Amino acid sequence: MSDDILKGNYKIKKQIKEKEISIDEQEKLKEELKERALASLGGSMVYVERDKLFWDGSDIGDQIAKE
Amino acid sequence: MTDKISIEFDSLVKKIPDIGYDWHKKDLLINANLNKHFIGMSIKELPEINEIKKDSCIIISAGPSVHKQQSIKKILDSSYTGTIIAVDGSYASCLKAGLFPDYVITMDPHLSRVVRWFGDPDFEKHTLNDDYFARQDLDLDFRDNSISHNKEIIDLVDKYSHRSKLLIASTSSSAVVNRVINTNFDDIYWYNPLVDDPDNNNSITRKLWDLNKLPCINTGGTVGTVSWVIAAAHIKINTIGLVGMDFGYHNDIPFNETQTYYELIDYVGSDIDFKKYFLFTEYPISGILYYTDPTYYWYKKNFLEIIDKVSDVRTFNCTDGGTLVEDKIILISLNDYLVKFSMKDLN
Repeated sequence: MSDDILKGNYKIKKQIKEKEISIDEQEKLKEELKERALASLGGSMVYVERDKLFWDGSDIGDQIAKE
Repeated sequence: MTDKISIEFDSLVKKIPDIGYDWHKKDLLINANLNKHFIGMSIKELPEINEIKKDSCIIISAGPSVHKQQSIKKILDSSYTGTIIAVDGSYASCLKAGLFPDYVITMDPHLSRVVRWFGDPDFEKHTLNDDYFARQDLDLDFRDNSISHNKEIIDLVDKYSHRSKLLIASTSSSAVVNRVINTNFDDIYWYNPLVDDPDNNNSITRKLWDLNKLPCINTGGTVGTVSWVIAAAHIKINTIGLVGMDFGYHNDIPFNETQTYYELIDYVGSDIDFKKYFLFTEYPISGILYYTDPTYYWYKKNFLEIIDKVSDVRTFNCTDGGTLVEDKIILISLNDYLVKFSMKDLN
């Protein structure tokens, strides 16, 4: 289908400007996408503590692991 | 045999702990605060189990091999008498097949996704603009995102949840907590995820403990790993079989159906060379190729670290596929495991 058919055959009084996205905004959007991606890549749960297996308000947990 | 890790793959794996920490830390405390009024029994109150159940267990994770290898049917058809532990993502598949796990374990704090595994009363709201389930590969019925399938899960969980004990993280979402306390689980046991060093300033782990005094358990970042920790150290089972612990994808699953496909494109850019971000491993029993992405690889690495921390536990990989091919894990077919640890061998 030709684009011409879809064009309006009237003129509007008010000029509509397309929102321009600045380079800064584009970069911000890119960063947001990247952040969102990192969130999914980052796993189901935090795992930064590599020494302790348990903790129960004291050092008891470490002993359980060694039993 | 596993391919060589690319620099790009390695670099992303190294960033994952910090990414996860930054992303989850806020939700963990918000969820734990919302849940504190619902907390009843602690995981420390889990009752002792009998010797037959204690002899061995099977942890059914939610990897694609469960479906492909018909693992649940194999368990049902056997005379296996050990303990059955299902992670949340495999629970519905168990119920559909008529297998009632002794324990169901849930951990992930995601606000809207996890509740699907128990049947989501707010299904339409939660699935809007989220194609996560269209990209999961355990139970293909979930891919259709259908209202009728969700209703089937609601009905199954309502009907059979009284037959399993539920172990739930204090940081689970309100959606999950509301669902599980309003269905028929009679026994719900709570734990805190141990997410950072409680001796550090501003430790989230310490804040969680201050809030509810529940024991904190290191999760290794995934529900399959925390299930192993609970089986080995809390239920005290020293022979553990893993099912559906793929840590990756079968070679015939296209990259664009993997769970981090779009996220990798967003992270790296549209000119991504996927060969650098997917790592292939041959499963020695079958010779079939499987592959993993950085997140699953990270889970696997964590799992291997964690299992070293509890001594005298034998871990068998009965997944019949996947990328968990490591010296410290005994590879065995599920059928052989079921025979080896069935009742008749105990007598």
